[in-house]
Amino acid sequence: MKSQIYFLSLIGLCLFTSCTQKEWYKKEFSEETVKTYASQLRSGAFYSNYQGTVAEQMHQKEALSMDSTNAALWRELGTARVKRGILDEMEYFYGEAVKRHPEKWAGFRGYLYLYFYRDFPKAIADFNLGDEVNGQVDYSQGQSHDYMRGICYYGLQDYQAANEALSKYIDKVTQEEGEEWVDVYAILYRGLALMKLDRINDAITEFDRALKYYPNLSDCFYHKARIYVTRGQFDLALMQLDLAEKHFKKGYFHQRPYVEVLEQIYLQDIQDLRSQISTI
Amino acid sequence: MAALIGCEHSSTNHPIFKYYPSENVFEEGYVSKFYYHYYPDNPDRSAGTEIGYTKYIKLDETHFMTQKYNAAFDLMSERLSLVQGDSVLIEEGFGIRNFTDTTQLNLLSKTISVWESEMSEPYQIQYEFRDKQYIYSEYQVAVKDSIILNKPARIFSTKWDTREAGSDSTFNEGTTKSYYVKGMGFFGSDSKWAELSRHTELVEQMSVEEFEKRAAHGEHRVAWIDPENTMSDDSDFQLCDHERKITDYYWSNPDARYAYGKRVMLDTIYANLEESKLFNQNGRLVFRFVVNCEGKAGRFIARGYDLSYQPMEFERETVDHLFSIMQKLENWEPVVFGDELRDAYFYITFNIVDGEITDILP
Repeated sequence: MKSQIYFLSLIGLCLFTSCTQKEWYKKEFSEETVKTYASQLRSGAFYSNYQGTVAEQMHQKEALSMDSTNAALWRELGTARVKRGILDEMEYFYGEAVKRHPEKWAGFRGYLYLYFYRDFPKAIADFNLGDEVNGQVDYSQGQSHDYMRGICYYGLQDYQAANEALSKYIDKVTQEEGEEWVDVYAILYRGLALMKLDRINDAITEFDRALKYYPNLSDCFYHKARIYVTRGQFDLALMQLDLAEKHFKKGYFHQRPYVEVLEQIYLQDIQDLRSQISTI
Repeated sequence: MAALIGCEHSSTNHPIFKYYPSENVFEEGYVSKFYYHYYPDNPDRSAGTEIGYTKYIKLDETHFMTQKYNAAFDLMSERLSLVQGDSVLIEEGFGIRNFTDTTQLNLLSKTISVWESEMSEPYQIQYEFRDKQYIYSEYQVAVKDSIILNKPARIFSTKWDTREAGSDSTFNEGTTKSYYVKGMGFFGSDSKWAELSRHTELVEQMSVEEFEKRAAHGEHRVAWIDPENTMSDDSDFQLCDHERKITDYYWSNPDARYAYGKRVMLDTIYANLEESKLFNQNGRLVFRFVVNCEGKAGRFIARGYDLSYQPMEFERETVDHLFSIMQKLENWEPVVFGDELRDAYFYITFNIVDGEITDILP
């Protein structure tokens, strides 16, 4: 009798167990499909979600769990952190992206070091790495590494090197495609570098060259005004400042999204210089 | 690949419920995870995949609830379905946009599917988008038996379109094939409309308990600031909108900034700066904060990083000194997103080299 009770209890336990256990459907994918889906999740993350939201990040993390070799996914996780001032996580995610695909992401990280952090040595190192692995002077975010190296040297106050790097970029584009295809801000920076090197007439030539392609660029008028002030040509300076202010107020000045540019000008700079002239 | 099984108290003869999981599973509720794959006709455009979850719970003999969640497990919509004979009717429902904006479903015609006969009139809803009224209509064209995963399946073919209310001409129309597999419920679908195809793929099913466990992930948006752990006295600081709707400074065009301009901000900082309080340190000190829709700043936190971007602690006196200067910056431009003034996250980075501020960014 005792053994019968034990036996029935065992059956009951088995039934209970089988009733509480469920085996849930889970689709399995081939290795190739997993890689494809990982890549698609990276793009699909933004269909309904803003960058950096939990939903967007969930897509990226799921994609990464499917294919950790995909450098673009690592980079994508770094992007919101760049824009929002989370430095250690930016460094980590971009580091992983560069490790996996330096051809694509070394120069891009250099671009970030330059514009978001003004970390000129690291930016130059990344541009050099990008060029080395690609076997040519490369472009990142649409900007030539020579051009960006030029800005870095400017930031490091090595104005000779800045002039050389910027000229290398400007000359190459001029020869291969025509001067009108040169980024006008590269010409502006070459003008600024030449000002620092006391090659003032050359600097004016560069500012005028930039104005040929961007006739309303307030920065050029402002920097020319600075030169005229140092030369005591106040009437000329005031004319330039009027133009600088007029165009600045319309938004025609060198600026970037997310971050300020090196040698950013402000309306107050223009107004202060005018005040300075009036007191002379 | 495993099938969803449980104690078989399934409604094996019911024309509709036999295609759903067994009764006890359905009554407890289950969740299906889907990949929504979008394939543009244009091969130059890349395909994309979205993650979504749908929770199904049978409420009684004739009703079941369907709730859709996004990849973050936020509830996006809910539908209450009535099973009447071989038809499914949507009795009521709502959708949620921007985390908090709830819109009730305006049902013009409720029958969404007929499982064993023909549908007499289309399922129709009316909705508002940018101050205009639209009508979405879905017509069941055919339903047929099939086999999927070696199980009996039902395939619904539908046509659908959208038109402005009062107009006969449609501006968006397409077709969908939806698949239901015996014992599993909705298994996926294939849709086609202008220049795009969508393949909805069931990737996983799970219990509600498992779903709730995953949903309790505790994740926040990138750069979220915990209002309970700030360095500022935020007793007078109020958000204008919901916490989840705080955006970022760069959503304005141009980027939102200090109201009197960066030059004034820099002048204020340098006028009040005591360099001795930087203690010859090197690194980047980042203050992150929220500017509400009225331009008032609050919820400040500070994070230090060394020149290799690794976390480091700045001297307390340095942090406090720079924070006291930050508090002198009283008026910020609120973010304007669309036509709306929004609360937004901002940050200011002090690049410090050998005890000198070399840059103030962004």
